[in-house]
Amino acid sequence: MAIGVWLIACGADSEDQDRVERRQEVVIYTALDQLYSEPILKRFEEQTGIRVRAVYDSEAAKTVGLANRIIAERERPRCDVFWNNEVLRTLVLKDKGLLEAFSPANARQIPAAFRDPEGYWTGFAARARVLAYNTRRVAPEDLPRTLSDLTNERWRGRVGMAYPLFGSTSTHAAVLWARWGEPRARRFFEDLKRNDVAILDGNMTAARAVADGELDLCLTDTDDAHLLRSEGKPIDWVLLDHDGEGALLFPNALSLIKNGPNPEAGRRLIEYLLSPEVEAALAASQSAQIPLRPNADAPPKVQEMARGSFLEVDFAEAAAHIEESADFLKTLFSKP
Amino acid sequence: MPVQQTPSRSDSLSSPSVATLPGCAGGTPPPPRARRPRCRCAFRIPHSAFHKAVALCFPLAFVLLVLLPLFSYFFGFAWSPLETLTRTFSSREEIGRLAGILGRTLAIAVGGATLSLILGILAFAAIHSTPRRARNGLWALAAAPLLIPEHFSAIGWIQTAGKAGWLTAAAQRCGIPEEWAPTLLYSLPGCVFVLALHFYPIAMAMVWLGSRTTGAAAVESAATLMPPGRVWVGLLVGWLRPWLAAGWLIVFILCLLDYSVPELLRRHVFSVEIMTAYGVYYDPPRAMGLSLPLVAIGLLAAAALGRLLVRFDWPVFARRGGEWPRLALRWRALFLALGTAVVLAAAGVPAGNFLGRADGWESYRDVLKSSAAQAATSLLSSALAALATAILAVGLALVGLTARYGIASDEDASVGTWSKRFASLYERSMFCLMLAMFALPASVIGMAHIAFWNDPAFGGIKQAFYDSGWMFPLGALTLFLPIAYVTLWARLRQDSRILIDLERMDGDRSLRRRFVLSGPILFGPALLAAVVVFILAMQELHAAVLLLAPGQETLSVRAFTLLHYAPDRLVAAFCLASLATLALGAGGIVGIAAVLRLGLKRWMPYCAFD
Repeated sequence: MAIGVWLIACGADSEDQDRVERRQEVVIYTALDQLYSEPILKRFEEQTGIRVRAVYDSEAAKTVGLANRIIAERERPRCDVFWNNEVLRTLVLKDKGLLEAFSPANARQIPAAFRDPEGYWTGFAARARVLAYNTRRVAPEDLPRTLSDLTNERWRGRVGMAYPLFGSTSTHAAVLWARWGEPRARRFFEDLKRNDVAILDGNMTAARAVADGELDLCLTDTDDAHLLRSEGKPIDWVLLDHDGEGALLFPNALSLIKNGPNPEAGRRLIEYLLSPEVEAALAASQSAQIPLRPNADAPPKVQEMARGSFLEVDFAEAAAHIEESADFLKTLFSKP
Repeated sequence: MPVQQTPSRSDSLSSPSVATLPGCAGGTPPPPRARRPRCRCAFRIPHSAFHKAVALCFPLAFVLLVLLPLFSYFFGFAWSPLETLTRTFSSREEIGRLAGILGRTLAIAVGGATLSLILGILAFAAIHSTPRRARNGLWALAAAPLLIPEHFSAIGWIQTAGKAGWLTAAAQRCGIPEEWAPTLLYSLPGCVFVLALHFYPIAMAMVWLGSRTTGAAAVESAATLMPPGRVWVGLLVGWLRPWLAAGWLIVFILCLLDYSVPELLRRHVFSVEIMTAYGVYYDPPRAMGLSLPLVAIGLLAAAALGRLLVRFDWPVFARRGGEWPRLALRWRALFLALGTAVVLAAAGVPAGNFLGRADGWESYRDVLKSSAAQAATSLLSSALAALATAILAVGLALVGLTARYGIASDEDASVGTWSKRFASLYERSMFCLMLAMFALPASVIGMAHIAFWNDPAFGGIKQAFYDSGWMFPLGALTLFLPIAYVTLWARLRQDSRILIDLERMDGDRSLRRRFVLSGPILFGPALLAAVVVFILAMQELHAAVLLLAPGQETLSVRAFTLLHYAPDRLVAAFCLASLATLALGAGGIVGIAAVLRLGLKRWMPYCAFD
């Protein structure tokens, strides 16, 4: 009881002291893997002296959990900045009126296709959807050429993907709904299921299953496949073509939360994260994120990835299909 | 002449009879009070109102911090049950799917409990096959798997018998197909196996406790009439049956509620479904609905466990029980080999695997540099939770004692009657509440606290606490208070006669007297409870994911996250560093406890410590 009273007394400090305290910290919910985001946030702390209180994407909550947490906290936001590792959930938050418009100076170099015209979110450091394969079990010339080829009989039981309700897999599904239309998209996933596609907990789990030889192929992201390849595992990947239209490239998305406790610190953090140095650091890290800035600093392998052929995606249109695709996929791939 | 009644030992939950003194019926005045012997440690706080006020703080804290959040949460369901049930059991297919998941959850719980019991008996038999002098150390060694968080065990086994594991590679070299080990591991039996390896020390402890209640004369007589094997079977299956049943039930509840091992071994169980509903979809009504079957089954198991616990003749630690006969040499060798295999599989395989994979000082350096804050958070939160839990458990137990003995008045018999009823009601209610709390999933406790404290009512005081970073210690207190309380409760059931006699010698109802008489008896169990709570809080994952504030992270949560993204060597190094931190922390608490005990023994030499 005494501890409780003491705590309440501490919490009931004067407004001025609260404001001073709040200026010195920023709360960020980040969906980018902790392994990569944490060093960057620590550098921001060292450079600015602003304490960063981060909530990371965990296997228990997933990225969609972070977005849902922001929605659940809408009456009293605890988060200042949302660092999403894809775009669509950020757009859902925008539609719900939970974001504040902010156009950072560092965003001007980002191509218009990867930032919100109204300034509610800015993309940077992208990843692509790839087809990862086990180099000991599949030869490059035998790989499927397009996404639709995965439903061929020869790949029955040999393909895996992450649970399509979370993360970039759900983004991918929503993009297919938007580009192909509902009938074709539903048919594709139904054919995948009939072809005994293995559903795993996440992109990294799927990539590990390929690296370990449990599966021959999987749908995953560039960072997961690249990390395992850099560890010397027998895995490689190719950009996943969509019937000749290119691969899906999706950026990280930064947004400022409306009525967050530390808006000024949040703006500073967003400016920092959009700086060329951060994008270069992410490109050079084991996650090999593709910079969106033209002529950005990046290792040769990442520059090679950046030269690939990519889909032109209307993320807002895809976001409009996210609920619809999720409802269907939840029923189709419900965990028994 | 006054009528003095000696209370019976058979039912310690009932209050003793009250001594009546001359003068109660009116007429002759009572004799003068006997002089109270002075105790060196005494400081005089005679006021009984103050005594009662201090005593009431503990139940009040329990109600405000623990019961209110839980009741509010379940009251929310009772207020709108239809919405909760329709959101959860929305269609026949969904009900069928959930029934399948529940069946799988029950199968894992039953299998885990049964295998734990078998392994626990094996370990007990193995230790009994060694010379007596070696046994103390071996008990501690056999209990070592409890120090390793179950998700660390799962990680260790994944790195051992997974597709890229060394066991798989070795099996392949011997001509065994490479899918054999991973298929077995990522299956229901694999889940049962890993859980049993973690929880068998609990079953072993129950067998050990039960063995200390065996009557020496009975065992000796049996040993003269029957071969040792038959004596062992008779003791285990006969005398110790309730203890084995209690051990089975405890492990059953723990396996039923476990989250991390099934999640890592890709078995979809109810606790994972609840976490997905709340942590991913933020759908509290659905999460509430999903927790109902789990809570119902857990409460049934807890009720059965309670019926067993109240009937036990709890052994005093000073009492050894009958010495079980030594088995024939071939059996001793067999049990020793099997017991060694169990301990190696439970502790040796994960630890050895981590040591092998950590791959040099660089891994440890990277891990130590990046995880110092998490280690500090884990140690501080766990120590706080352990301290608060032990203090609250002692306070609640002492209130029961006070109600049972201390308010017993020698002037007014009616006060004594009221005391008896109150004491009985209080102790039974507290015991049932604790068992019920033990059966609650950690996710329910986390959700209850979030719903209660993240509330703008009362001028934002509750939300100030919610934002303060103290939520995880509070969640750990709620989760582990039942273990601490039952530990103290079991101890208090042993010495009621001594306390009654001491009460009669010293008629004053002072706080000092309560401390002097009851404190030493509760000291050992309170310290044991604090150490156990510290270890469990360091390992806690489920509630931590829900309750940690932004910017806070514990070693358990970090391990769970790192496992999915970091290279194997970093994961292995991290697990080892975490285990070392836990061992150091636990060792520190045990060291402090030992110093405290020595100090108190010198300070209060008149008091009987055990």
